[in-house]
Amino acid sequence: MENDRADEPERRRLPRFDEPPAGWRYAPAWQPVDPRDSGIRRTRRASNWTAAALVAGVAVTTGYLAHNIPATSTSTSGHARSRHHTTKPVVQAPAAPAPAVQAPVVTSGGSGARGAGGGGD
Amino acid sequence: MNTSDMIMTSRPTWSRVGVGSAGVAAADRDALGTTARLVVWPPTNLSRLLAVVDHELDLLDQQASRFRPDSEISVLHSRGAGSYLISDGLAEAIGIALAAARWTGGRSDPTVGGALISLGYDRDFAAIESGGRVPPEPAPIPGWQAVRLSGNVLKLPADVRLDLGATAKGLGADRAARAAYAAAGGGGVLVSLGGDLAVAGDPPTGGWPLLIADEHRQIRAARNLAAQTEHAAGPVRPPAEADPVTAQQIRLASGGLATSSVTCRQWRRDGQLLHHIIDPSTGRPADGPWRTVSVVAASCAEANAASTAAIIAGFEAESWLTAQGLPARLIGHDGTIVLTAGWPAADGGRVDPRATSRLLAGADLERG
Repeated sequence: MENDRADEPERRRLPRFDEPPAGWRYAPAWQPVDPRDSGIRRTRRASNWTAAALVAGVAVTTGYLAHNIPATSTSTSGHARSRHHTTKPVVQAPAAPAPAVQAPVVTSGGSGARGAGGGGD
Repeated sequence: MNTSDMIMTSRPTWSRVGVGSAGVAAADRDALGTTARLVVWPPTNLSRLLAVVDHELDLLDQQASRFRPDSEISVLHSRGAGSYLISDGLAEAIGIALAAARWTGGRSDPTVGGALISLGYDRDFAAIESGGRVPPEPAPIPGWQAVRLSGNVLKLPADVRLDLGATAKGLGADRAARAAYAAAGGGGVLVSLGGDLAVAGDPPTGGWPLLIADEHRQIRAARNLAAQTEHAAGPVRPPAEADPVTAQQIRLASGGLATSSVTCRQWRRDGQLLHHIIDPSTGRPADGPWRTVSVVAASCAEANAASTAAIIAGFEAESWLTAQGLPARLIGHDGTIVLTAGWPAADGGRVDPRATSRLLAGADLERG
């Protein structure tokens, strides 16, 4: 009977279930974890916190602005953002026709001062 | 006037005035050393918009009045040379004044404050006393290029006193009209500060009817005298009649209108009759051929700067206004009337401003 193992140079025993494979070594307990993995983990953790902080910040800012800026203000000057400017917009009836006005409503001339002035006004 | 005509707000008192039409409502109050008028349609909007205009005028006064010791600009003057972080509102006002100076070739220059003070205009105009002396040498004009504005940082050189009189009232009218219209949500608004005015929203049919005259308290005889005399908040000087030859009625649908005149805000020193429009090239009141110039522009601040510059420009005013495409009406000391760039010759004609404001674009550039 042909021996199919006859040409094997040597025999090796398979490791037992509780033995490490041949050539394996356990890392000593004090050996640090791979520094690249550690960096990625730390970065990911920081990103999560940053994202959470951004979401919270946007929510707080949106809430603040919604309560403090008059919705219809179009002034470009800074004072328009004053929190004391509390005039509420009023929805106008849409079909009010423009009036016909004949007499001048204002005179445009040099701006004389109120009161007695300096004697020349 | 009965008590129902008195409209009380937090501080100054508005007085309702009749303007001869039931379709609009108007009220007056003292502001910025002159008279503010708010005209609106529909008339029911008037009461609630007064507070909006109050807010804008009070802010401007706190920012830019050189007659209030506690204003932001007065505090800067008291501290002298230096770099200062200033409010958005004052930065806007100074940015517009510097842009106006660049645009007008230095004719409208905000550094004439020292010259005005040396001539006696160192307090609210109503408090100026006659007498005193005119200095033998005119006060030096530092020149607008000496003032730097970058964002909200103002670099103020030594001995510079800013006077924003050539643009600030116009800016105030622009701000107030814009804010009042935004609060109204419809209809139309006109805000006048001593005759320099801005409109917002829809005008009455054909445009807001306005009278052009030498002085903003003048009226046209026998046309709306009854309406105007309804004005009454304490002792009020009866309105004078406008010169029937040089007065004109026009209509304005958008933008702003300003009139500068050397016939008002006059005072005496050493027997000389002085006025408030200083020629930066001489440090003295302008003495050109024009007594009154009215300009229509995309904003009241722009019209205000242009009308002041035209008084100072003298014989070059007509060509400069024409080159800028600005409708204007110039009245000479001899009563000669010159019109430019589409100002109507006929009474009641409509004036349309140039579509875009070069001044406001320039103001953005000034602030960097």
